Amino acid sequence: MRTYICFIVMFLSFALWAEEIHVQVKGVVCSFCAQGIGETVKKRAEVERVSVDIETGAVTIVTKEGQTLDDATIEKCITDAGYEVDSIERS
Amino acid sequence: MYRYFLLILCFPTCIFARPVSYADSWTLTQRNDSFGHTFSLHYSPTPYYSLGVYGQSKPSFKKSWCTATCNVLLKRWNLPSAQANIFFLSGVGVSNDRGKMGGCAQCGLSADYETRRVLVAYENRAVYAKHVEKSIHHIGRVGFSPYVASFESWQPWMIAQFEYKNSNTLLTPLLRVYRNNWLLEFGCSIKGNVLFNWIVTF
Repeated sequence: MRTYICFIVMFLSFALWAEEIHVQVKGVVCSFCAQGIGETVKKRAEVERVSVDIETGAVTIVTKEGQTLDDATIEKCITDAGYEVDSIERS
Repeated sequence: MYRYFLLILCFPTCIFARPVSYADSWTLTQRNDSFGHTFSLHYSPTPYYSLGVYGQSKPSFKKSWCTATCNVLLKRWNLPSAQANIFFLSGVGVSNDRGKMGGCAQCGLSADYETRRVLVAYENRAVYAKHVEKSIHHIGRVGFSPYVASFESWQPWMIAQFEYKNSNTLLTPLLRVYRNNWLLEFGCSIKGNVLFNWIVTF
């Protein structure tokens, strides 16, 4: 019984977590680039917030609780903004 | 001078910006310099082309032309800390010389290479506007930024702009500042002509 409860609690905790996704993007050079990426990614209903580090080209996406974005969707967002994904890491 | 500032504030005119932006976005640009006042508004359905309007008025505001435009991204290179682009610019419309109307067409190429601290850009635009002008305008730019600012901070750029149009050459040092979705440029040519440009994307 205790095992089942632990499993359910762990499952619910995981389901309610917001995911933080780190995307390294090629071609980011200015605030217009950051604007384009930010606005394009924010259109996704799963996204809580997004930030772009212009100096490194790193894009951090935080999803809403219990939601995620798959790699293909992230790549499409970045391509629609006019840039290229170099790598995607999740934490 | 007061009249000049009133005019550039009230009359929407154009600029040297990327002619295609991110998908589902609008870009409004305006350029004011010794060659006239230019206005551009375009919508980018995808990051590969944009549709909009582009018009120019002579400094006296007595002659002008305006075109519907289609700009196409021919090639883009996304590099780890740089981006380079080649665009094709085109448009057809009407010209106006004190009420005398005529046809108008324009086309050109725009290329740029930009890192976070250095930029090199070139644009040419051939214009045929009946009764108003027949010209090929070349604009080249080189610039650098002393530091990289965050999205919420102003980032300054020092730029030298070289122009050639109708046998006239012009060198204009200018200051560009970026912040969020705004870009402003202020300059004064070596002949004393004031330059004021702005862009906003949304």
